[in-house]
Amino acid sequence: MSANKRNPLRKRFARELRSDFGKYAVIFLLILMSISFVSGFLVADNSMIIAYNEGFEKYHVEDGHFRVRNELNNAQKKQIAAAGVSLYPLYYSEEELVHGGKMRIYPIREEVNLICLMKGELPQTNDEIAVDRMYADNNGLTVGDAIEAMERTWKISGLVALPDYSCLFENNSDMMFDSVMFGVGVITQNAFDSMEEVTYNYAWTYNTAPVSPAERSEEFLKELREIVTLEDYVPQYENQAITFTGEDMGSDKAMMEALLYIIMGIVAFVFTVTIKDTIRKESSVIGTLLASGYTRRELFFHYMTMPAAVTIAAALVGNILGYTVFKEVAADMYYGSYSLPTYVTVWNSEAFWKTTLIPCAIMVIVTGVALMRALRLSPLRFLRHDLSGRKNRRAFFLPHHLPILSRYRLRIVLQNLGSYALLFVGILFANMLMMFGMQLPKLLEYFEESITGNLIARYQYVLNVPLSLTDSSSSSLKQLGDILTYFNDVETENSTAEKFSAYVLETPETPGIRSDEVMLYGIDEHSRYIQLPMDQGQFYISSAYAEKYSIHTGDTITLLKQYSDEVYEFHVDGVADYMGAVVAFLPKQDLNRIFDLGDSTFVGYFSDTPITDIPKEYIGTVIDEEALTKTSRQLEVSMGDMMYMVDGFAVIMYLILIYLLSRMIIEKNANAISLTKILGYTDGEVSLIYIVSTTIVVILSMVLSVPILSAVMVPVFENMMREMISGWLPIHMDSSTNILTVVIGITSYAVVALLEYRKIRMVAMEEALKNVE
Amino acid sequence: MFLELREIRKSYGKNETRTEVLKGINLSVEHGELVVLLGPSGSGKSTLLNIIGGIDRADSGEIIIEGESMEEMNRRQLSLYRRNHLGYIFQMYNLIPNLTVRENIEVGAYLSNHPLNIEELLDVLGLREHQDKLPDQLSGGQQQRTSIGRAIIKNPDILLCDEPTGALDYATSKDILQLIETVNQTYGNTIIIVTHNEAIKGMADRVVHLRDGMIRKEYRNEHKIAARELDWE
Repeated sequence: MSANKRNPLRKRFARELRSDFGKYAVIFLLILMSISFVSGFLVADNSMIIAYNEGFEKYHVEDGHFRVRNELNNAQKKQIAAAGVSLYPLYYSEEELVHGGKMRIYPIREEVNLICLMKGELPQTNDEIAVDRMYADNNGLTVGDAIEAMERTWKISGLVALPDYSCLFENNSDMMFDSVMFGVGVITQNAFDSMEEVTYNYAWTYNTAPVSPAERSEEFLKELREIVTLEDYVPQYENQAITFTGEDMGSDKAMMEALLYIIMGIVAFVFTVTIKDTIRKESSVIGTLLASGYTRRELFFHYMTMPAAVTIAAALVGNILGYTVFKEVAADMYYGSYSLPTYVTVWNSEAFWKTTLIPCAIMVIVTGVALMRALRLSPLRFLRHDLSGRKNRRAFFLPHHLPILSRYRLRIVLQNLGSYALLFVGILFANMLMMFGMQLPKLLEYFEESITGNLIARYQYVLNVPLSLTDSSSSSLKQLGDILTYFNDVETENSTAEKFSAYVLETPETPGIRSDEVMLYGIDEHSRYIQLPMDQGQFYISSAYAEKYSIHTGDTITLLKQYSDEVYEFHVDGVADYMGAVVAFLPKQDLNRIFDLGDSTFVGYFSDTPITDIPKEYIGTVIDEEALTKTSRQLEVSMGDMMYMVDGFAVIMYLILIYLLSRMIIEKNANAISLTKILGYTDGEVSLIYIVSTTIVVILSMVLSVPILSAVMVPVFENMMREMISGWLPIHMDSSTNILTVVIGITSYAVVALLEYRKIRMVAMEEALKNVE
Repeated sequence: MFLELREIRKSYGKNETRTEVLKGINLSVEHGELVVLLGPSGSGKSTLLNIIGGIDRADSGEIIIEGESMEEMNRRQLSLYRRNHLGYIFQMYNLIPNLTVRENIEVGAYLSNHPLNIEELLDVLGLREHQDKLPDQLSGGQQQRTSIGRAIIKNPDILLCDEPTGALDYATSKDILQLIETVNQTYGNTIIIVTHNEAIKGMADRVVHLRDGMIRKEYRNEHKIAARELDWE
């Protein structure tokens, strides 16, 4: 064939597309949906990561911050500056809001952690405030609205993003951020100067970028401790409010890519089934073309054109949609979780090749191999419709006493094992998405319920212990005075209050696990709140700790002292039933002795009623039901919408996969269907034979997928939680959700079954007569 | 009269491509008769068979079977007509490829309230040892025997055979024709055989010659011979 001649087979494409429009349309739709969503996600993710990373310089993000009780004097500032850092006052004040929650308020910053104005303008007058954009979104606030604190009201002049709060962690030790109940805002310096209670917080940046931020931070901490009494010290690399967002965006990206490739794999196998179906239908055409001198290569390219064209078209349109519509959807998801600055869409070659080249390659390789195998046969075999790879294949024996229609249905299942296996994989995958989408909210609900019934005490007050009390290297008179004042002020008259001692250690870094700060509670021997035998040397961990780190009674655990090389080992004598946090319990005397705290030292109270007679500044944290459910509430806010999308996507996958595969099974059996009609079977009877076969497979796949997925998803969820959060959410698979998953799947199938019935009805009796020529 | 065809007309295509395939066919068939419809390709014999079989509809005319007119039947009633009255044998056998020999025959048996005994039928057809094989494991003759088994197991009133020996060699064709003859004699079914093989008319009770959509000649075969005596080699 000369090179300049156009292959006449090309004229068939338009006809084939018209005749099989439904099939190609749904495949196109499935690829398009997957690619556009993932492409949009990758573009948004990448653009936002760039914006986030550039933000460190653009918004001059701190290298860390520390908190002191009193304002630093000039001499202290000079001493600190001599340690090679630039120091910036970043004072704040906190206000309880009337509608609930807390607002941390800063004066407008001009040197460090600069403000990104998202909407409106920065406050100009004393009664104006610019609040964090995400906090405003989550609380239905916008520019012009009023925010009411206990003693004053501000008008929102603008919505902002603060780079040191891209994730709204109130305290760095919190399990999870809280963008609903905790917000940040900025007011004018003038307005701030009139605030009564100010927290003296200072940010620093290194004058020279350190090679090892951790080592540099350790050095700086030592130097700082010589100069001031620290209440809090958080270097940037440990500041969850700054780093959590970047880490989370990276892990989401990997998950989305994996999702896309699994879907593309499934679609590629669906395409191989359609190709085999086409080859079977066109067997005599192929035989004739081969016999006429067409090469296998020409036929290969001919039959590859349609799958390749559909994939490429879907990938291209998908990318366009990704860059336009879905980018916004993905960005909204991030903006729904994180307080990110504005971003500029960055052309992302990585997103392009990951969502276009790789999917196309998967499609071409899988379908290409299948096509090459299908075209290996001789022209004669094609002409004789003899496409079976195995000669004289034996029939699988089915007992004769089984009713004929049951055997008929079983034969259909056996005949289409490949397609049904693919259907099973597809259903398994769609069910996984569906269960993921539905189990997570249930998981959070279960966690909240179990926390409510499993509190140590209705309130835990952790006192704000000045760092000087735990700094054994210092022994000044001033420190002694501080200690005496402190212990005098933190006594309470509340009759339900019970003192506990505590010390915070941290877990060693473990790959795949987000490390935890572990609060070690020192408990009274006869505690009314902790019902554990508190004999000397006893050590218990909470069930949350045991589950997260897979620790059992009798194991030895290792914990590290923060900002230090000190390592502690504890032998676990038992597991306490407490899912609220990753904590440990030991006798108070043991804890105070181990950490040199002094026999009578305590750092907090368990109480069943609120404690009201301790000065506010000494109450560091109140751990109550609301605090413990912060993680689940935030996950609900961050992932709730996404879960609905995942569920919706799963249903569409059900519909498309079942539709495609059942349609192909019907097409493959068109001759037999036609024949059974000629024999006198009614449309209803024929449908019952063919639809029931697929129904059996669908229902079996649905039902089997539940225990399989339950077994798989518990570790998947556990690993996800281990990586995502500090603390622990117990994994509980809700059985009603499993049933709902099956019901949704079967309902989706019912829609397809109606289409199948229509298709079977439309098979003409002339089909069986075509060969009678 | 068991089966009566009155003025059957059928055409395909529209306007200038319109081709009239049947041009007013009148035919009466008695119960238990073996009728051979002879004609060259394009004579309309298969179309006529499909219309009798309720697979295709005539443009005009009437088909009456046991006093019931087919023209008034809806889709479901036509299915029941085929189920209750007809058996079909095709040139290319048209067996269901993923069912065994036995299962193909049982698919036919399912449609009848009083099917023949399948064990006996397998023996009559000589398919006992092949009953658990799939069609593609069988020879052409064995496949056609299976097809006959599937058609007759429900003991239909009418057996429609469309070129039943068209894809078979001489010896096998004679075997199949003998089988059809045996079925006719044993069960008393009405049999209509469509063929272009002139020799087959020898075994018919009545012969109908079709050409260009019209019956050219129709006569009772006064010199009927046994199928085994047919010869066209």
